[in-house]
Amino acid sequence: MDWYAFAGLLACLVAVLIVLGVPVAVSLGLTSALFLLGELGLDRTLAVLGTEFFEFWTNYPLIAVPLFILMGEFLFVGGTADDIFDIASKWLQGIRGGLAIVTIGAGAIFGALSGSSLAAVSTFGILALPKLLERGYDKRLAVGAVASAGGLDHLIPPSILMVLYASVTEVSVGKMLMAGFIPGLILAGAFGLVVWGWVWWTPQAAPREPAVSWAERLGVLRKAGVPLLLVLAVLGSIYLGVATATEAAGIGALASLGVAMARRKVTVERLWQGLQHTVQTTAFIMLIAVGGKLLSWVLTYHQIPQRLVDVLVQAEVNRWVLMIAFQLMYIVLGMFIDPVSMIIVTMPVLVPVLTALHFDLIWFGVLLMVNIEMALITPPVGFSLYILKGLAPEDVTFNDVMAGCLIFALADLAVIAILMVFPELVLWLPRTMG
Amino acid sequence: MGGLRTVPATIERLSEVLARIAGVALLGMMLVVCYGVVMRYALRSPVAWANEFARFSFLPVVALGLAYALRHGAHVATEVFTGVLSARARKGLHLLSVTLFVAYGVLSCWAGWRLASIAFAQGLRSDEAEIPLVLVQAVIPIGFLALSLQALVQAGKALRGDARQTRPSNGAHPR
Amino acid sequence: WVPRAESAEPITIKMASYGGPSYPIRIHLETVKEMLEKRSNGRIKVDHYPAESLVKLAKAFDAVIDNVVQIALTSAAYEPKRMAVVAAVANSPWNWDAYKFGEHYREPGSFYDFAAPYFEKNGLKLMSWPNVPHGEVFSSKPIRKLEDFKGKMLRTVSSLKDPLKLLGAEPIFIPTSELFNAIQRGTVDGGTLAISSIFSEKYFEVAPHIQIANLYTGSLPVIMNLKFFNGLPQDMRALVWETFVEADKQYYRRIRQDTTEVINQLKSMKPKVEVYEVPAEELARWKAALKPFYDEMAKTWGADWTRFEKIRETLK
Ligand code: NA
Ligand code: NA
Repeated sequence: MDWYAFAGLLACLVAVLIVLGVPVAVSLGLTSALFLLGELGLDRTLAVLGTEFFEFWTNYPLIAVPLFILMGEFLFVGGTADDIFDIASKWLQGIRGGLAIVTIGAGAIFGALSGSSLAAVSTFGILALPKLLERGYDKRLAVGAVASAGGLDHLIPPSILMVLYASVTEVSVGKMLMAGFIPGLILAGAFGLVVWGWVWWTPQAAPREPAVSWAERLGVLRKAGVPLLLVLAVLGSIYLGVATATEAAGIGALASLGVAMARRKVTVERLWQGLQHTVQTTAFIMLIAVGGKLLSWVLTYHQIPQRLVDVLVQAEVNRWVLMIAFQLMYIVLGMFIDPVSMIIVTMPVLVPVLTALHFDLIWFGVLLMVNIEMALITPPVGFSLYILKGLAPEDVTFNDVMAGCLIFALADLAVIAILMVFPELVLWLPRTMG
Repeated sequence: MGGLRTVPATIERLSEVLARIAGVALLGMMLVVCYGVVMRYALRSPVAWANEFARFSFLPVVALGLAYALRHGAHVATEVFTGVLSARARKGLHLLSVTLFVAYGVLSCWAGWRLASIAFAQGLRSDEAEIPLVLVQAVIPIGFLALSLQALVQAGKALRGDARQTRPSNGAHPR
Repeated sequence: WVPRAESAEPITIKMASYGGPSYPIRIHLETVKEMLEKRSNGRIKVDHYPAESLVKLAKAFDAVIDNVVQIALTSAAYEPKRMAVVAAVANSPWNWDAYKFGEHYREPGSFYDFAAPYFEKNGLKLMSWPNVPHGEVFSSKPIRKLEDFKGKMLRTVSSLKDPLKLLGAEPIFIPTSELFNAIQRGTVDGGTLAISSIFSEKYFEVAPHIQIANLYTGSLPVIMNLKFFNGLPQDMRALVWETFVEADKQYYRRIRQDTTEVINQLKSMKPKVEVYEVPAEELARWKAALKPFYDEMAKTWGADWTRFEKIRETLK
């Protein structure tokens, strides 16, 4: 079978199953397993499945996902989550969509210390999403804002994916990380604009926070102590080098459990509940994610991404046409393969091409990071989509999640275009490092 | 016949028990991560196995939570198309879903069994704490077995026409 | 899945490796691929999956045993159980001279013959044993004397855990994906890596002190599925084997030159980067500190260790 027919068949089968309402985890995993069986036979298929389950579910950076969700659970139990949003609400009175914009801003700050978007999406999914919905935000707007806030994480340094990109392309890690900073802020601004535009278009999508007196505004700050302490515990421990970004998730969970206990709000029953909820959501997310990993494995095994790159590279077109084609290619690849595979499978082939065409590898890396931000929210393999579906209340349908995310993806596209026209936005800051 | 009726109940209880174990693993993961930080930063005497222990407790958190997540309506499906169908057609599609779920669960269980049995036969151990790997990897087949059984229970409910179970998509985080 | 001798059909070999574009063994395997395809007139086709894109280095052993891929770069050190004494000696400190090893290890009775049976027992054929020279300590603060190791938290791999402890350091295990930031934030003080990786992965940007002590030689054997290898048509089997032997020679010629160049490049980055050649006298103290480690090795592996030490005499 030709490789494109193979890829097409695989993609169609996944799509059909998902549309028919087969759970996403099964659609991805079983389809991959079937193609593996056809190619490798039973024993080797079992070998691949077993290895991937074990590898993926013992993958160290991923433990931040359940730990941050657990932190969120304990923050709710302890009432701290309510405090945070009470403060935000009272200080944002009069600004329509203010809470959504603050969420995006908080995402940028969180991103400046954490290195993984999955951790960030989990954190904001459990903390901000229910609050936004509670306040009457449109479901799609709320989900989109949270997905975007979390997605900023791997663009704003530090970033595990950027370190990976730098090691695959052998550019300076320090410069690569610096390069993400300004584009990250631009992207955060673009997301803010999406919120603003959305609310301008349909004012009922976001409520105005109720007007309060200055006395009330100042009074609510009394509640700020504990949340501030927790923020310091998590972000401060990373900043001061006490803990790695992954470990900070554990510290955050323990600290918020401590706060909840100090406030005498923890019973054995509620502790169990928090643990069970986290287990349920983690299992749900990770079963889908490993299905996505298997799909990536099959596509990589058949060298589909490389062949796609080869086809483009051999087309003799203007270098900028080619660059746009690369971006479109990443949008398509991003639908089906995970970010890590996106980087390590395509970049070895692309580096010599980009160098020959005199494109800057750091600049290209930043474009790729924005593309990955989008890949996290495009179906069928979109990690953020499923984290948010898992964390959203029941009446938020999967279609809501997709629709909300895709509208914010417009900002990603716009930022890619801006960075292509004004490469200095990326390259200026790293150059100042000398 | 009374015995037959208790089978689904036993399976559902199994899903709950496994999730409790997963919860303990999660708590352990949190504590060991913090312990690792304290030992390294405060006492400047890092423990080599902390990292490994955290990674290895992630596995049961996921694997032993699979059946529980299914029982409580996670494992999301889309409603792109199913929303417009008749109840009968939806029931058919739901049965298809559950069947595929069982197929995937059984295949994965088998894969996990293969992995764990090799680790057992060769006496493989982990790098740092030198734990027998079979003890860690065994949760993969156990988790998928429980998932497959739970999927069968869901199928039974669907066949009996339990409306609550035939509703598509229900991946919500409980609160 | 074993190719039949009589068929002249093209043979596809899947090959998995590790490392960025300039990682020496990745280049070695690219060479192997080119040579195999050219020498066989296209009868052999090699699909190369670099940078752990299909198989993780730590899982390469099983991937080849299971014939998921037929050739892979692996690390014996990840297999203490199945590789026994071979794993123990592979990445132990000051084990052998990387270049001398390259010249002699395939001679009858030398290291190849010592190690190969352990691979065969697991259904693997040892094809090539490329060394990455100059596994060194790099750190954010200088380490000049043995005493400077005290309390330094260095990221390393299991096989160097005990040696680093004996030197006085605190070995730490975090994934390399977090290492750069961890050094930058001061969570750890540095680590151990081959100097070519310290250079290509830019760790010198945050840990500019590199101690040249030839602490260890990174050994990453290239393995092939034994059944697959034996099932190759006679002429192809010979061709594959000879290609590896030839590529090996090229590798060891190149690696000496490349490593020297990397060290010179790092030296030229003065004063931002400090390449510190540990003096012989001081080095002797470091080596003496590891005596308990070697005593333990001798005790654990008995006759095997004695055999290895004898072979090692020719590789130093
Ligand atoms: Na970040
Ligand atoms: Na996607």
